[in-house]
Amino acid sequence: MATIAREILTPGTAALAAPRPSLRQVIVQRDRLTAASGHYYGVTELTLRDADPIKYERFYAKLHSAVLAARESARFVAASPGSREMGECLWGIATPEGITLAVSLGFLAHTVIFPVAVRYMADHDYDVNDGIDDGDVYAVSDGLTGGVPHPGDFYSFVPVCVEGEIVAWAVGINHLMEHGAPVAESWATFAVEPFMDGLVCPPMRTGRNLKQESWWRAIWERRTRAATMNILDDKMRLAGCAMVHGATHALIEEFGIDYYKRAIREVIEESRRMVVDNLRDTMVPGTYNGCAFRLVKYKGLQHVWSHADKNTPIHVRGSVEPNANGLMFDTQGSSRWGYHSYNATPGGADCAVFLGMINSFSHNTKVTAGIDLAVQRNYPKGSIYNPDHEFTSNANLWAQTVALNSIGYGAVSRAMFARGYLEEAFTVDGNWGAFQGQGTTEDGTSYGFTNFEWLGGTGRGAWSFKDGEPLVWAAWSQMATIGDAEEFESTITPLFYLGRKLLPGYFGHGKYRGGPGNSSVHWCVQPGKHIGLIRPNGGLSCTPSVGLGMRGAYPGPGSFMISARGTNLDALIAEGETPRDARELLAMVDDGRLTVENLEIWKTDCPALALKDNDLFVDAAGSSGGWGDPLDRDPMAVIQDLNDDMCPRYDFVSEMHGVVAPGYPVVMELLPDLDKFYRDYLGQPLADESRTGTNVRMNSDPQKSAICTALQFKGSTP
Amino acid sequence: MSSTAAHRQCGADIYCGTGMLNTILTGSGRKFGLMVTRGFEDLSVMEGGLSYLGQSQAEGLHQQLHKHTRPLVDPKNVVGVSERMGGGCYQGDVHLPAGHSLIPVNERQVREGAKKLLDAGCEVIGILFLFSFVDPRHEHQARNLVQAMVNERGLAVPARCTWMVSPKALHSKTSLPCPGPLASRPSVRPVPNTCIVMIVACGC
Repeated sequence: MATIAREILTPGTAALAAPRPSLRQVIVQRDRLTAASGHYYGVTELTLRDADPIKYERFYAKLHSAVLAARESARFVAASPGSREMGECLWGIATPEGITLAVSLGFLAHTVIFPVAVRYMADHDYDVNDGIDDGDVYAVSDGLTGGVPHPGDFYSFVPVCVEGEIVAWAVGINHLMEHGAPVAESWATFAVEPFMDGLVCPPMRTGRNLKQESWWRAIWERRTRAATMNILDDKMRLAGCAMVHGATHALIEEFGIDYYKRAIREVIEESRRMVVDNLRDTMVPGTYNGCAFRLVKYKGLQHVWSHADKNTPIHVRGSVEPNANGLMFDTQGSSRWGYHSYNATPGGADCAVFLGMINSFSHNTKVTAGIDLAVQRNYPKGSIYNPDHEFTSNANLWAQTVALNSIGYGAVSRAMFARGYLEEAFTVDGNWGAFQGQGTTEDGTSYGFTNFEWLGGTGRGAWSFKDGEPLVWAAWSQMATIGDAEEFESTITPLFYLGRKLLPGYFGHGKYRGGPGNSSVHWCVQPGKHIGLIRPNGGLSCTPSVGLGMRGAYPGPGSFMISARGTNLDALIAEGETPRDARELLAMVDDGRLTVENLEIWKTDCPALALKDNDLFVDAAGSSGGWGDPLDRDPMAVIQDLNDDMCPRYDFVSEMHGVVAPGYPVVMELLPDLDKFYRDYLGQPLADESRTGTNVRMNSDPQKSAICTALQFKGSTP
Repeated sequence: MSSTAAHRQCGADIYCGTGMLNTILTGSGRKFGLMVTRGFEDLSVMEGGLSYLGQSQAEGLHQQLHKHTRPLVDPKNVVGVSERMGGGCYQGDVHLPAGHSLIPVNERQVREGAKKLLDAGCEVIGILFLFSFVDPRHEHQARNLVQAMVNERGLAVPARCTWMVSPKALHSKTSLPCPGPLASRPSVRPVPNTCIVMIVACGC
């Protein structure tokens, strides 16, 4: 047992003669030595590395491979698409004080959260009062005590103990599909206090000997709406932790405990030095300021909690300033906390801030807490990032703090550009989306769900020398993957995809444009007793990049969703002309093909939307910003985007870029009638004119492509 | 079916992982057209967002290094067809069953799509509909129509359904490469069943 009290009560043990320091004492000593020396744990010389670098690297490779293997094996235990397929998960190994030693692929920035929960357990004498044993299982999902970025991200901590001493923690994380708040969710959108955030667990022991207690299963079954998936996700996290736990014991057996204890400190100090070197090599001294804004629109929606029934603008302000020890990220000037779900905690804010920092400064190092030590943070007490009230809701912490990452990451991008690293600089955005909810089938089966797809990948902002790309960017996991449509469809009983596409024109314009965002159309069929959808906000009512100043370009447009209730979809299905994305749906409403009794476009939080047969839910997210003055855009790039339907509106882009595209006004006028175009303009009637009687739509790409080809062939301007 | 029985039906047994890989990397195969469920026309460009596959962790963490590979199918040669097959739900038998035809195959759009692809000179046509691994009827129906048009024109353009080569879940993403090898190199074109062998050998 790693317990002083128990050791003292057990006469005859070695611990009685030389009491082992408590976890709290270990952390105090670590902090003292680090602060006094400026080096992690006072390690000024990398003696093991320098004496035998091969052995040292072999040691770390084994540690690293343990967490990589855990992810690639354990995630297939899960049932939820978010974890199993998209990889919305992470495994890591941390020092006794919770400092990261190695992490798998996945949710990288969660590495800076590990110490929060361990410090809480130490400060509250978990090891002294209760004992922390090898193979215990702890659950964590609380923002204040566990540092999680929202309660939907659930952690499992498993201590690794050798002869009663904690020598490491195996940690597993994933994003749950449903989390048991009043609003069905994995992000409790309308929470006012943490009691409405869903299943919030401060660090608590839920199992022993790598096995969960029976009562823990009952918690999932009675406190969440997706018990099957959550139970399997829980087993997944534990399975991965068990692999890391076993591998760590084997590693210590092979290298010896003394080598292990010294090596883990050298690994962290080594990576800290490399991160600082990277910072010096790529940043320009100075202060990089940025800002972003978000609107919390609760007015009229919070009648029960009258103190929260108001709209609240959130001002996000951040600055980055390199210094001798790394850099300082300062949030001074940001808004105060409020009675809404967008409050952060220092640990949760860290989770966002470190997204860009790891990408920029840790990718070529051992990914450890070295980055944590090199990036200092200031979250003023009382601000939205460090509330002076212990019961603030953190349910949408993540959605709000992504703007912080955009500011910090954008600062690094500007610095890289200033240093001439053009291939590193691009417009950073954080525009994501998802939807969630709950339902009851006709036979009474209840279910909760989240569709993560537009959280998994977004367009990347423009570079300083080329356009951004679609779906290569995922600031939060750094592994863009939108999951599989069939998987998500099978988890939301009455919803069926009618489209899953890139959304033309959905990006910020500039000399170089951003990568386009995405849009899906979901069709409700036989909803049973009830289905209610809600958005977790994400990029709604958010301007993550407005203050980043990428040389005169436009930021990416925010995400939005559309509810179209009471439609004539049956008629459209008969014609085979159902809407495929948000733009097409709105165009079809405008021209009368799609009739809708209740059409609503949501750019902020919305109440749960109940759907009936043939109702449609459409979402769009993942746009990204441009770089440079739109008037400087190459005219041929403008025409190329028109030809490829990447920009669907000629009048808009013509004015935006000051470009007159040869043939385009005529094409736009004649396009609705392809026969007329060929007959009257080209003078070459289509061979099958009489048979097809073609009346094509403006966005019918085959015909448009044919026209563009014909225009090039004709080689003239109308 | 045993391995022996499978190979007995093949025109030749060729271990051609290298050949297929080279075909994909160089884009030197046949011109390929793809017919997909309406609304999924951007499939070959979106690639599920998977732009980091094959990278080390160090490369993967550095997102500036992420980029899409060249689409296996020219986006201009992808056509959408209105149809929807339901795959069932994970709760079991509480809603529409797996294999429920939600939207019938729009035969007009199949013909128009096939015409476009054949007019564009496509030498192989792949058909990829959602949940065909659960029930291949829609893919089958579309394939018959496409094949009829091919026969009308006296062409030798094979039409392949993804359920034939990869009847498994995660279809809409992972199956996409499967028809790709159908655009095989000239050296293996004369062997009718080679494509299937290549796909199996590759584990697609």
